Amino acid sequence: MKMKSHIYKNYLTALAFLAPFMILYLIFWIYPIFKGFLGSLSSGTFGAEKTFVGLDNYRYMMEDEKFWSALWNTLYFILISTPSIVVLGLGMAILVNMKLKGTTILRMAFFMPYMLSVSVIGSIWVFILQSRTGLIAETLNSFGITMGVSFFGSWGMGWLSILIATLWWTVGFNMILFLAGLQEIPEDLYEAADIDGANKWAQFRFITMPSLKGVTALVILLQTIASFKLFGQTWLITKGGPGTSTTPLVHYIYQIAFRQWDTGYASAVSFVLFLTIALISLAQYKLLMGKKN
Amino acid sequence: MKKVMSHFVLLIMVVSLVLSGCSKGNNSAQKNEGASNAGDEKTANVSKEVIELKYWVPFSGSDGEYMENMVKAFNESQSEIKVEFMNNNWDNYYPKLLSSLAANSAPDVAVAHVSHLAELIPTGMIQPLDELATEAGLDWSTYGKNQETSVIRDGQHIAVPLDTHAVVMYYNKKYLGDAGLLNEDGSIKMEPGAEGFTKMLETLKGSLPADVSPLIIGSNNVFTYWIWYALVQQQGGTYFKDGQPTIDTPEGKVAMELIKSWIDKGLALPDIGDNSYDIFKTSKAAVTFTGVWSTGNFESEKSLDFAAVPFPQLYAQPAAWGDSHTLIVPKQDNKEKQVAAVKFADWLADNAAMWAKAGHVPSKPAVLESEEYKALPYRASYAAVMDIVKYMPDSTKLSAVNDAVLESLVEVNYGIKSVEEGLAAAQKNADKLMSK
Amino acid sequence: MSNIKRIIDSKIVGYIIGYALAVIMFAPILWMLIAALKQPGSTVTVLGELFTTKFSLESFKAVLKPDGTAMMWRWTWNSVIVGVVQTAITVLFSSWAAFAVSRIQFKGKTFIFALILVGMMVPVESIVVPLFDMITEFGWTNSYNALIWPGMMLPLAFLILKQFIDQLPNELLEAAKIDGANIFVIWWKMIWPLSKSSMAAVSIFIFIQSWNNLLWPLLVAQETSMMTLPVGIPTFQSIFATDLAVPMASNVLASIPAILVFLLFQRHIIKGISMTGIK
Repeated sequence: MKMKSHIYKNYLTALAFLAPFMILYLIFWIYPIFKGFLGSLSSGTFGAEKTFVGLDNYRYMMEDEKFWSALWNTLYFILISTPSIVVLGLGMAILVNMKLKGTTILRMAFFMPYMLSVSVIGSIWVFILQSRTGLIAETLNSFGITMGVSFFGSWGMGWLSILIATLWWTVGFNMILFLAGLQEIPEDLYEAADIDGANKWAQFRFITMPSLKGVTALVILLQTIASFKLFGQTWLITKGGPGTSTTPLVHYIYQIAFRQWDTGYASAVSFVLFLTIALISLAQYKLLMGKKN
Repeated sequence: MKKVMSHFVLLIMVVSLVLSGCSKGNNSAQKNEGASNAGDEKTANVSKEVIELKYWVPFSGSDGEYMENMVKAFNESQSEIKVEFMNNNWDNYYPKLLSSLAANSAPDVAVAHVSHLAELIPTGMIQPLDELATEAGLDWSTYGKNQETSVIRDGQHIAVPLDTHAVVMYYNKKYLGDAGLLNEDGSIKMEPGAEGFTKMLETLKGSLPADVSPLIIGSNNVFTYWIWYALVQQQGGTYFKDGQPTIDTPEGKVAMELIKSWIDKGLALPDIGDNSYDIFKTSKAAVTFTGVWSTGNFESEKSLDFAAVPFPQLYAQPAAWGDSHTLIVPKQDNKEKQVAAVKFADWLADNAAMWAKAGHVPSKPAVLESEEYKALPYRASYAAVMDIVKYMPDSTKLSAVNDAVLESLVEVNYGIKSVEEGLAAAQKNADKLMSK
Repeated sequence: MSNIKRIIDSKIVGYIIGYALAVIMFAPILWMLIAALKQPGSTVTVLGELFTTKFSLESFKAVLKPDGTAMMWRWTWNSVIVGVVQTAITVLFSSWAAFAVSRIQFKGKTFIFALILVGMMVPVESIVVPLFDMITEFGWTNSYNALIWPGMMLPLAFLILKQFIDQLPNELLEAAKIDGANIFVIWWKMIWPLSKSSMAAVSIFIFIQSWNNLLWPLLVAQETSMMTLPVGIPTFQSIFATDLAVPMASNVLASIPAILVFLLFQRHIIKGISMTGIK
């Protein structure tokens, strides 16, 4: 009896503690997921009556070249950005962890861009990279050199520009994650290795790298998700062009919903985006947990 | 029901905030929201004396400044109506205007291109104007006949036409003169047709400094589409036929091949992004096809000696891309504001000689006849373009189709797709969009 | 001896790479600062001329001029308000919920926990369309309500704070319970003070996210007066097309608060980010 009343009482208090969070969460996270899914089964536009069309939007998606190119663009960005952010982030973390003189300055310089707004990042990199009137082009020009490449002029260069801007902006964040990982490795492991005469590379290979597995997996997960959410950089820097070259999924969703006014189709693409991210995080979570146990 | 829900949500949030014994941040935030609400009430009270109108425009080019000056002049000209001006980036204007119409948060009066009216109408938020016009004392017969009829839908005027604008040709007189390409009267010496024009550019290239391009066209923006459109029309081709897009046509191919050939032969610069205005303005290009709204911008550069003429005829018949700015009045309960909005729109059209400074061609014949307009340089020399303007078709999918076509044309410009592939892709995407 | 030599060697390499990278990372920010300090319309894209031309504050004046098209102060204010309110609510509500899930036995706990984990996998970007529809139905467009309530990073804050509360020793709470303190008092007297520093860390992390948010405010802030900084700044690029100095000045002004926050709370920020990495 006593047990029961105890649970009952706790149920109420738990409710009191959970209510504010859950109300916000249910209204602004869970409800939109269902609403979005329902929306994806209908056609119509904002404010207008929607008609049920079943899976038409998904069928349309299968044949929509721009959807596939946006998906491929997104995957491509994951492929190029993840390794570079791991290597650069880890490299910076090691540099900061080396106890060099002026470590604070190094850490500050590496991390500072992360504090800036994506709009500031976008405008800085447009001004640096744009052809003819950009910093690089005009500086080269003042030495009589014509810039042979166009940073926003093709699929490959466009993505390289987005990559450069993104790396510059977010590598500091990943560096901090690696740094935290590095600092958790016990010093005496290295001391013991030193006594055993292992060189720096061997120490890195057999102590640092295995210890950083968890952090690396996290960085990969976060970067993968961030790449799926890519919007600001392409919207601001390349405007998704030339043509559709640098249009990733979220950018395309924005175009469908707010330029073509097709909320049904936009919801369908959004739902696919949601499922993809959910599956990826689930898989990586399982993988991570599996390794830990 | 929805209202009830939103109030419920708000109530819970406020209660939970109060219960939370909130941190300092919360307090100040709440105060601020309270303060801004109070501010709104205050303006609502004041509006009984002065009618305040929110006015949105898409003039991110230099014409924004001219419109801002007109708004200032209007506000100073009378004391009943006060217009609050908001300029928007052209690229994002229609997404914004449409969503504001759908969200019932539209401005009191807004500029809309006549070509975009078809997209705005389905929101059901565009007020038919005939009744309001009578109250505001607007006389439709004072407008040019073409422009007046262009805003009639279902027998009702739904917008007030402000101007017509088009893509025309600007050229640097000094460069063309140096190359011996100017006639006595300052017009360009060239043989007719596309070949004659290309030949003229080639002659130019021979005499221009290395860092000056014969021709400049916005390669990654809507100009490519506008020029392609004009060249298709000149061949008697169509963009929409019987309500369906006709993009992948022989005329379309010829037009795009010509544009691409200028880039390939080094007669036009590739990859200039949105910089075409600046490049011509700073004398880094000899000829440009661009909108009449650049006239005011180019004039402000003292070192630039230029001429403006209608878009050249390169094929069988003259044609140019053009559109018209109109003012729409969104539906709302406050009729007083709507009447004031119509009065304001009519005032703008009446005083469009000021607007013509930006380069546009006013919609009222009386303005075109006025001394003030005639005294403006350049404008008269391209006013003839208005007779050859081919407006875009009325379609609820126009923006979406235009975007799809532009994407493909830009890919052709950048060599990502061949002309055939580009037009085929554009046609396919346009058809798909129409099929929805 | 050779050991010492090796260490010195590797340190020298570290210095070279480290400072070279630092210069590369810092150069764009420095360029932004210098370009902003030039007269509007002056050439700032030729490196050689950067230091030979006159410095002035004219570009800042142009940005701050209240002329209806650009409202730097207002945008900064909006960004601050939205950031502060979002952060405070997210952290407070998440802390309560985390405490409940971590320390209270109740039916359906696993379900609640799983439900919140699902949220971790939902990017706000994938629900902007239904959210925009909702905001429209509520009539919230162009309001702080629209900017604040959707898209708060509730699940993330919840998980981080739960991890922290999980680590607190049971004896601490048991002792308080024996003293007769009820559960609300326990939260107020124990959890709140103990988790203050981790809450601060999470707060700063969430504030940065909110400060940088572009997509959502872009959709719901249509009036100039309701824009946040990330939405407002790009408007300078089109309004002053020919010019770099003025947009750069707006970039600098928009960055000053963020840089100040960084300099003041560097340690907390770094701790906050590290915490997301601790499993």
